[in-house]
Amino acid sequence: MAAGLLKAIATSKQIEIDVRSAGLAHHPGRGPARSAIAVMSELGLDISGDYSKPLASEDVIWADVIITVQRNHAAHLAEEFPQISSKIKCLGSDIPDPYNGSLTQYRETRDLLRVLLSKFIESLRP
Amino acid sequence: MKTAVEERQLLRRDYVSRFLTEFAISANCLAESTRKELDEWARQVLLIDDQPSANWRAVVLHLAVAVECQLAASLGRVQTLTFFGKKSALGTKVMKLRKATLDSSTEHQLAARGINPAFVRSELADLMSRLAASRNPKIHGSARLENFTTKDANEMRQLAGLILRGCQRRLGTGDCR
Repeated sequence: MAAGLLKAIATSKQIEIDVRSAGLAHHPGRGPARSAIAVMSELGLDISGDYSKPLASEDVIWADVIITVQRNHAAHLAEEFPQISSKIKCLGSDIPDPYNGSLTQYRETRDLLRVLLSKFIESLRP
Repeated sequence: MKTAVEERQLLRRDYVSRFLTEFAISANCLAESTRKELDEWARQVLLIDDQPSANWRAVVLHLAVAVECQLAASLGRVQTLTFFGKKSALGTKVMKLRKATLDSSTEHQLAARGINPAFVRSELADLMSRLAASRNPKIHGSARLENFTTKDANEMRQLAGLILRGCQRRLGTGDCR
């Protein structure tokens, strides 16, 4: 959801960015949860073609900024890739995992992500 | 003041320590390779602890490797059971253990290391067999499912605790490491 939202927010603010999404404990090839697809489609965003990918060293080198949604993910990455620790940004709040939750919980997570990602995008402006 | 890395090391140590205490296992009686894998296991657990949607594969695998390290370091040095120290599938080791005859010399060697021969003779093969089943990718139709849940991780935790408890060298039986 975060990658889909980030792309949409950047586009709406006419900021050009490339976004890749990857996981530290990914499910090989698995698509987004149905509830995630549903709540994103409420915003007119289609994430049904996305699938779970592992974070590769190549991604870490490629990225200018690496955004995590959990503080311990940021700490884990900084420990694993100390040479790029300055690229790592946590969104500033641990985002709850809505897995197996209700649509309402997915909406809450989506909306929290939207607010935090909007702030992040604003921080990119010179 | 501790660095973030040092704080995370302490968290991992604490997590492993609670696991060992729960199963009455002494850290000093585990092989260094086992302790290293337990540390990596804790690192993986703490990464995704509050994320039920994560794949718990790395958690399951590191704990299984910790068990294999301990089996190699303890039983692998006992005559008749040296296959535990060799690289082969866990299932193969289970079959070899089931076929092995624990004669009095082997039992004596186990006892000298503080390992209960009765545990090796009667419980270990079953526990290892269940551990191998928990660790291996599940086959669903023709697809290999490499997705592991918190339930898989908890099952592995239970089995690993029981095996490590049975295969730790008791204090006072020579060099624990």
